[in-house]
Amino acid sequence: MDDVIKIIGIGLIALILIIIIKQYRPEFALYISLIAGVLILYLALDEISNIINLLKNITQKSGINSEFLGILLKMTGIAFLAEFAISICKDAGEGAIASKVELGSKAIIVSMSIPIVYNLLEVILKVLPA
Amino acid sequence: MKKGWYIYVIIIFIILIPKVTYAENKLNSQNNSINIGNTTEDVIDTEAIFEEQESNFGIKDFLNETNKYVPDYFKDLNISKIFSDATSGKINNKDILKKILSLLGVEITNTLKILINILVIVLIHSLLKAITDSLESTNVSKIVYYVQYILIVTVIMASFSDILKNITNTIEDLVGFSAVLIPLLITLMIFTRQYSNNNSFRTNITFFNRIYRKFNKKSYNASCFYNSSIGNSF
Repeated sequence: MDDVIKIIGIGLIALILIIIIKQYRPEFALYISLIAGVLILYLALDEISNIINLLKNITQKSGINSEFLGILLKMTGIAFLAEFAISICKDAGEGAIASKVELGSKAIIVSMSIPIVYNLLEVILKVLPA
Repeated sequence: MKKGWYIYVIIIFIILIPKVTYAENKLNSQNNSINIGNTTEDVIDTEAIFEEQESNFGIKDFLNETNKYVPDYFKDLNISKIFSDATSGKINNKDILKKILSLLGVEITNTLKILINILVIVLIHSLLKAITDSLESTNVSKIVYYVQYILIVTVIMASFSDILKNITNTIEDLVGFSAVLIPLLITLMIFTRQYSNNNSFRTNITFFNRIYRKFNKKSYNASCFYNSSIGNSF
């Protein structure tokens, strides 16, 4: 409960500061939103690590290959970080840079998914008759 | 006649008196005997009799042969011990029934494991989807969703391949069993004078096809087609 209040508080304070500072120094508004985003992510990190530990325990007990879980979690992390960067770029009015960041993150995610796709193809080839 | 009925009653009474009989023990061993009062009784050596019967009927060889194949299906089962328990009347039916039921449940436990794997992956997928749904850019979250889906499909395909393997093994066993019965069928057809009509043609084609396939595996598809087309035309 405390963490939620902290996150909401940081968000509201950052919003008020940005509204005030935008009138005088609009460039600092970007820094304030960046710092607020980092702080909020830092506060949510504990809960995210609890979720990751839960998923690791479940995969260990069920006997699923933990490598695949690692790949999935990395892809999710990349998606979050890319989203963070894209939103800041869009807030700064740089839509082109945001789309490039989105493209780069998509390419990295697809390249990370290659082992999973390869595994699927192997299984399909095993099923097909010789 | 009045006096005669005494005789009839006496005769019936004599017939209906219960007679006690004892079984006679015959043993070749000189030491197997005990003294009861003034008589000498022979003691039955049951173990010697069982061993003699086992060797006469070849039961020991059968048990030794069985013990070679039992560990493949039942790891902690001793057929010789079950046989000796059965002969002494101490057989434990519950354990045997449990082991038979466990054999029937092997496929179910394997399928349950795969089912649990699929459930776990779906659970992980739903958790990650709930987290990535909050992202503003839907394109990136869509790619993550697709990769998770591919993982689910991979696990399902792995179970599908196991099922296919079991099916092919079962079909091969069935085909082999039917191939074993074909010579018997031909023999019966000969003895019942049914070999000269068209019913025997399909049986002959199947039999010779099996022999031909054994030596020439490359022509399997062609010979199967030939067999089915010729067989169906009759």
